[in-house]
Amino acid sequence: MARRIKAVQIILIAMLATISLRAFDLQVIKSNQIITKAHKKFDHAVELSPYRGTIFDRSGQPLAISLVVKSVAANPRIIEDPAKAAWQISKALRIDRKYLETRFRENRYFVWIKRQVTPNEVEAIKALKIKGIGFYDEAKRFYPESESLANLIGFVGIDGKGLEGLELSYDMALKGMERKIDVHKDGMGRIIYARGLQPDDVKDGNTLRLTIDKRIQYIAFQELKKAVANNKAASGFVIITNPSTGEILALASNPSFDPNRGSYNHLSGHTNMAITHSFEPGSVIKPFWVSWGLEKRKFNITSSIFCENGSFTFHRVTIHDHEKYGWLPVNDIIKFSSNIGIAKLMDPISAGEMYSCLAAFGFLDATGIDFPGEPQGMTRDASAWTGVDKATISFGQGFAVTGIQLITAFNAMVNGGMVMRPYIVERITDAKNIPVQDVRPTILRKVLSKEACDQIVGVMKSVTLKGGTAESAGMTTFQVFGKTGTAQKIDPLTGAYAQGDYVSSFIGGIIDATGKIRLTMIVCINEPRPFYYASIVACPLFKEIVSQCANIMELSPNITLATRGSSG
Amino acid sequence: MRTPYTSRILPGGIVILLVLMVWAMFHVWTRHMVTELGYSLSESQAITEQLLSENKALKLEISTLKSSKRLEFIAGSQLGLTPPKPEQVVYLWLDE
Repeated sequence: MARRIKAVQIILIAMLATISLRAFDLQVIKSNQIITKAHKKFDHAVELSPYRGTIFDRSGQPLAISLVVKSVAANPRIIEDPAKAAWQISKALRIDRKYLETRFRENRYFVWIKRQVTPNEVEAIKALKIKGIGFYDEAKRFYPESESLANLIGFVGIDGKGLEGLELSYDMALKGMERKIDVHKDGMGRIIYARGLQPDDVKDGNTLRLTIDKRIQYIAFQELKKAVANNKAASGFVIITNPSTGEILALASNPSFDPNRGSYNHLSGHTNMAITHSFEPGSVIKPFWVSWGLEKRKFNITSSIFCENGSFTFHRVTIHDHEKYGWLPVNDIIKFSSNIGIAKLMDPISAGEMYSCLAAFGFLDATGIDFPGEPQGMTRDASAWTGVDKATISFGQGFAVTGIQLITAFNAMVNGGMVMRPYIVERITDAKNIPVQDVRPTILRKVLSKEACDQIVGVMKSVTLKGGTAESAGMTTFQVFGKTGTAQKIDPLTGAYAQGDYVSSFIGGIIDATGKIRLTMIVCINEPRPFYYASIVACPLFKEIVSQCANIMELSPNITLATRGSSG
Repeated sequence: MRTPYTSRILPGGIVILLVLMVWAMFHVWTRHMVTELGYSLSESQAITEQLLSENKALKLEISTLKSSKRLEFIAGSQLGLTPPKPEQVVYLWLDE
């Protein structure tokens, strides 16, 4: 009996020893190897995609917002009947059947069928129950204001990368940070967050708050669109700003596009004319010379110039006015937009001084607006200017500027002399609404005294009064001011001025009852037909936009007590 | 029949075994809890993402419903409204 017990004991001890040795082998000797094998099998890196930041207007209305949508893909190797599957899916997704069938016959494990589909399309595909078809989450960008802001905000590609406009220039801030975290997956493929989630595992993109007012933007875009269509023009733009700060309240460009369609195939006319397009300014440049001349005491507001009754041969080139004028004071040279008057007024001033005037107002450099693709000014060096060049440059020919340069310089002329950096984004906040950057108005330099500004605003008020070139921009309830410009365009092929191709523009502002300039605006219509004079093309557009903006901004009208009875 | 030696060793051994068993069970229980909480976290994460997505979708819907183009269309087609001309705007004085 004792012998049997001993035998059982030995067997048990041997078994325990074997198990212990095996355990020691697995737990100690092969431990690292097994752990590595297990990690390979169960551990996975999961990519946590951040949301692209939202873009808001100045009052907090979303202008660009991202949503997760489904994309449809296939594994062609496990599709049993490619022809039937292609036929069924082509009907559900409205895609070419032959194209799908070709893709389904490829010897690959993964092909996209259609990206960023609608929920109805997802349901339709699910109902087909085709083996080898799967769905993936992707972010899609939506633009509720559609084409009215398309040239400004731009758009993103199918992979969510900013391709144009603010989406491009603020791509780094908007896109957020992709993070990969390690998780376990069980036998059914379910994710187990074994180490938990850290607060910074997902870093969504920052949000932008713009200076744009979407209501003003919409008015500007709609009226511009009408004006371009009515005048059979090639294109046009409108910029509306706050002259005291440099904030851009609206920036409309036509033609535009629908950014919700989201592919370069569907986009035409996506250039932002206001910032990226250079053109000869024409007569809108005249007040800049006058204000600068007044500031530098080259002449005074009561100086008069003989305007040669409409035709003047100057350095062997004949300059014309559209009317026959005799002696005109400085005020009327601007009011009637006399080319001869301004050329003779600027004649005693050297090319170098005129060049420094352009430089002071910022016409030689980019303004530094936070938007991609802004060109420098296009002006030859003053040493190359002839006498004729000086004359033509004085009435806005022979050099090119952008719309944003013009409105920035104009703001300096009417806000007390400060050149303010124009800006579109006023605040950047992170995903938790904590401010990352607050953009404040930036004074770049001072070019004019308040006295000179007051004088030139007074001069430009007369332009919109009876007899002025911008009489059609005048309003009974608000004081407006500004300057017209009708500039002939250069044919890029011949290098000469093209017959019948003009840029018609008006740059001006509105003054409320307190005497404060509440907004400034430039409107520009490119190649209008058959009429091209700014008084016919650009001024009515300015007036229409200003009157609607005045209502929206609840501006107090400039009505005196004498008109009180008739106004109410 | 117990010897003094076994009577001294056996209770100690049983206690050690019990402690080891409790420790082993505790270890298994904590691992189980980690897995369970991992599942729970995964579900919560999925719900959070879904709610965030719904929230964004609703925000988008609001902004689409409030889009200027739509409002102008409704104001014009259903209510017969147009932007007022300057002469149609009546300004009220504070004492009126």
